[in-house]
Amino acid sequence: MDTAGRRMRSPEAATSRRLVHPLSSILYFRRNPGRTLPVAFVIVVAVALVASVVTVVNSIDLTVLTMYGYQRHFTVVTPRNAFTVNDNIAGTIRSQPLVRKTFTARPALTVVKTIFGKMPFVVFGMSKQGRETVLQQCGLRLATGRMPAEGAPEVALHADIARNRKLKLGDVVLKPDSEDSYSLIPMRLVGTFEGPVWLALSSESFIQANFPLSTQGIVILAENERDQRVLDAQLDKRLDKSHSRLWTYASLVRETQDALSSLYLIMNVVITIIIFAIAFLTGMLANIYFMQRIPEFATLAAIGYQRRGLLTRILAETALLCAIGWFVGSLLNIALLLGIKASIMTPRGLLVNPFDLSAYRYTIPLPLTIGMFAILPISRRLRRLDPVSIIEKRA
Amino acid sequence: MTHSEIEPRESPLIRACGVSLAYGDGDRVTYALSDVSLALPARGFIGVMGPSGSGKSSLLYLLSGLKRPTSGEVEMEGRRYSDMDERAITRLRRERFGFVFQSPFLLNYLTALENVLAAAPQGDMQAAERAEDLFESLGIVGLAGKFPHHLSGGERQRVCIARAMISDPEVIFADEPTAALDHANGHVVVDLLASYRDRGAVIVVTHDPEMVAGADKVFQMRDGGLDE
Repeated sequence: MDTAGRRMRSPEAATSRRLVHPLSSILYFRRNPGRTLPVAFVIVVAVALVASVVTVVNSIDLTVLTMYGYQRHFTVVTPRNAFTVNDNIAGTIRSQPLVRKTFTARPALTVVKTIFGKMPFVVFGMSKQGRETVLQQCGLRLATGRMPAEGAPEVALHADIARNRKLKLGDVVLKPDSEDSYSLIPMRLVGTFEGPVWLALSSESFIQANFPLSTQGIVILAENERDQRVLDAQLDKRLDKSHSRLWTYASLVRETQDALSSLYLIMNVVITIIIFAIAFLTGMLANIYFMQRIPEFATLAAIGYQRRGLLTRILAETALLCAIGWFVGSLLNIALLLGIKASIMTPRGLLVNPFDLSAYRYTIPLPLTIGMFAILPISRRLRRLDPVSIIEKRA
Repeated sequence: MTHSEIEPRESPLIRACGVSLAYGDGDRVTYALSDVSLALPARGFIGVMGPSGSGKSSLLYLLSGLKRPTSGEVEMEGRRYSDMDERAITRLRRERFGFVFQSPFLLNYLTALENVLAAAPQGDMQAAERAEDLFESLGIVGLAGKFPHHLSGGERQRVCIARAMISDPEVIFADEPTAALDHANGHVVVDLLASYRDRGAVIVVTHDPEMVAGADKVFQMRDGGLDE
């Protein structure tokens, strides 16, 4: 044996060679990129496509629940068929043991731009004490400017809403010639908030004086979010619905889901079709590559590899390829969405969550279906494999 | 027929009793083998000779369990193949037989050494060392890291022989191992196979009498039967 041969025989060299079995999936992938990369590439693109579509559609839900997320922190009861909540209802509200504080509020309406159009957003007219209480309850702080002065045509908004509307301090938020942000007297932006909840505040006295048709509601606060949920449920049972309307986070979620159910149904159908189409084509592509390897499988079967072992090997290769494709596809989607979020969405105050787990759940059937389409035909072929017929054909 | 003496007291390792192999059905049945009986010793270099279509490859397939006979029995150490399921027969091929085919079937994406190690028993920690010994004894030590498409026909066939020997099998079945090689390479390959005769049985199927000139025993076949 030459020097190189003797060197090969050192224990270290022997150990390193044993690390990768000649028939391991990893070795096959490394040595056959022309066959594995096209399949992996399709899986990557398909996963990224499906996940990004679902994430963008889910951003509707996310937007609605974020925009109106203040309802997690306080509940509002508004009158029906009247300008103020009647005394009976107000009494019922105050009698609930979980109520920490109540005060009145009057709404004016502006809008927020979303990827599905403009959505109405309430500017709450509250007393100075009410505004401070609500800010504290929602975990918000004044980031720029100041709070609206009592009786003045002024608004303070969450910074994301200001970005969304491209407003800076001093700009007019509600004005006489606007169809969706109407105020007879222009209301200017005087401050922005930072924190987890979107909110728009003005003074109750100004709204009362300048919006003659505005109703007066009651803002109800519990000690914390958990108590608020319990309190909302109790109010939902006890309040007279014919003379009041209760605005809770639970009802917001329910209404959002109801409103979006058709959209989600359509999305599910489209994604199912996409998944099956891509999975069928990719599975068939993988199957063509497997069929090209029939002489390899016949040789291995002839020298004593069990068919079940060969099938297990194919399963392992397919599973690994699908897993890698799925993982890389998910990473690609995250990178893509982070880029979109940073360059398009955030500057416009639009919402998208690149780490939306439910979007990745939609992609799980993709590798599974591809695996199924790839493996079923080759497993049938392997069951009927006669090594001799292949060997004789090649001889 | 060339008859070198085989130790008469040695009991046969593999025995075929009245085996036939037919293809097709009904009126269109063709017999590749018809009522063949023979016994193979545990050691020695055995040739199976005959013209093309005489059934010699079919005989090898039956003896090695690659095909099941239409009728008759093949047994190894008294255990009938017909009593074994597909898994047991496959295990037999993996653990006790080695194969060299006419066309050198190597996995193109594996190096010569990896092709040989792929046939090693599972979990065999000494396989790599044994493979290196085999490469040395077969004169291909410098080819271990090369891929099949960089090897000549003769080199590939030697790698196949190394693959057949890596598990120290009791029987090596070689089906026309020299058919695709030139004369000189053919002789080298047969000599390498013959060198295994002291460790086990080497069954070489060929139509070239020169290749089995040194065999311990030669079975002559004609028209699907043994030419007595």
